Amino acid sequence: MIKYGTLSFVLILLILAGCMVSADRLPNVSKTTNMQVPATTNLQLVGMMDSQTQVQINTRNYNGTDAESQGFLSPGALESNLLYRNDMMTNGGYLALAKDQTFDEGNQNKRGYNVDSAIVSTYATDPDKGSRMTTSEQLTLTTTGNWTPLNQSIHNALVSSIVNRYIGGFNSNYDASSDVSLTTGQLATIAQGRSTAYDDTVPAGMRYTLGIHPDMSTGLPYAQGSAATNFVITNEEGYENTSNLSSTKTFADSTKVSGLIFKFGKDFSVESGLEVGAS
Amino acid sequence: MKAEFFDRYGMWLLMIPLLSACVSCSQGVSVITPPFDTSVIASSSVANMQNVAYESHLGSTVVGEDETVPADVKYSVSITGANRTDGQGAEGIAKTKFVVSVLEGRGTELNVSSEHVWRDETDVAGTIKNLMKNFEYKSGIRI
Repeated sequence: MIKYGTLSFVLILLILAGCMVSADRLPNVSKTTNMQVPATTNLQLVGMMDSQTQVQINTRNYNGTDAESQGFLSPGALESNLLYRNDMMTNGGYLALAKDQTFDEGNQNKRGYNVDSAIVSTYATDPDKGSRMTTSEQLTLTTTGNWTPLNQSIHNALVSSIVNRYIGGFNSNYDASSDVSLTTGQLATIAQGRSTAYDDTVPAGMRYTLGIHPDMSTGLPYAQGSAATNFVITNEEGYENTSNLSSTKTFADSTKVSGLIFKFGKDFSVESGLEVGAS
Repeated sequence: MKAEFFDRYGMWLLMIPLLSACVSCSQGVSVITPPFDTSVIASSSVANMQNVAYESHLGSTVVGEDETVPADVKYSVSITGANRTDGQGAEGIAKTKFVVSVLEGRGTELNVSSEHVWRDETDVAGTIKNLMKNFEYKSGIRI
């Protein structure tokens, strides 16, 4: 009896894990261009600068049905949009800037990112002019998909033969942004986002890290200025192959600091994907 | 890729023989290459410069031996003071611009399956001790 009990318990666990399947699936890109753009910038400047970087990756897996021509997703269809934007400006002063940015439109694995940006800028004001460095950075990922049969998307014969269920539809939005204005100090940011994937087991993900430190070469133990960060996650999920809403989630974090900043650090990281038991 | 210059959706019919011609894999499976439309711009300019050393390199691959050779654009620019040992920077205004934009279809569908834009612009004015930018664009078919 005990043996049978254990066996049925294991089976229930398997099915439960199958039922818990939820959240984001990412589209994969067509095989056309596999574009890759690595870019680096080095700048040492006394004076004014104005710089903008923008990356936008919109990817769709559509089935080409009539419903889609009217703006609806048909079962199995997916869409993801990844936007990265960085604006930086100084109106004089001393600036040292290093930027390392890679943009890869290809399908990603679990540790890969479509947008990977690291920026370190060190700034000192021109005391005669009171100049400032202002930056604004934003990383936004939205993913949306309609329900799909589980056995089509998880290529695991064991699971699909046991569980013939559906993965519900979903809408997710991830947003990280910062606005910083400094008269002196060092600003370092890392922004990474993943919006296309080889298969459904690779989660949607993004990471945003911001640090403000004193510029040690000035001898001042602090950075001076103001900084604001904003992180938002919203997610809604449907239940199996219905249009009923089965869960909604919201996460929001907003921080503003101003004055003498000895150390300010924020790290925001999110991943959302499928997890199938016993796979 | 040669087909780079036939990048127009209106030319799709023309592209069928050009692009969708079955690319043979090692297994002999045929692959349909979807249509695409790509543009790449890299530029830099200076104005009112004094005491400047201005160096730029541009390299591009636009004609391929076969379809597995990726289209490639490399651009790097460096602006420093004319005499690097005295530590004086270049004086003046410098601008750089880099834009990549891509539309892609999927399979033989004309629907756009992905859109990508990459844009980077930097304008600086004043004493430029060092302005260095490197870009590399690479795009091709993976079989």
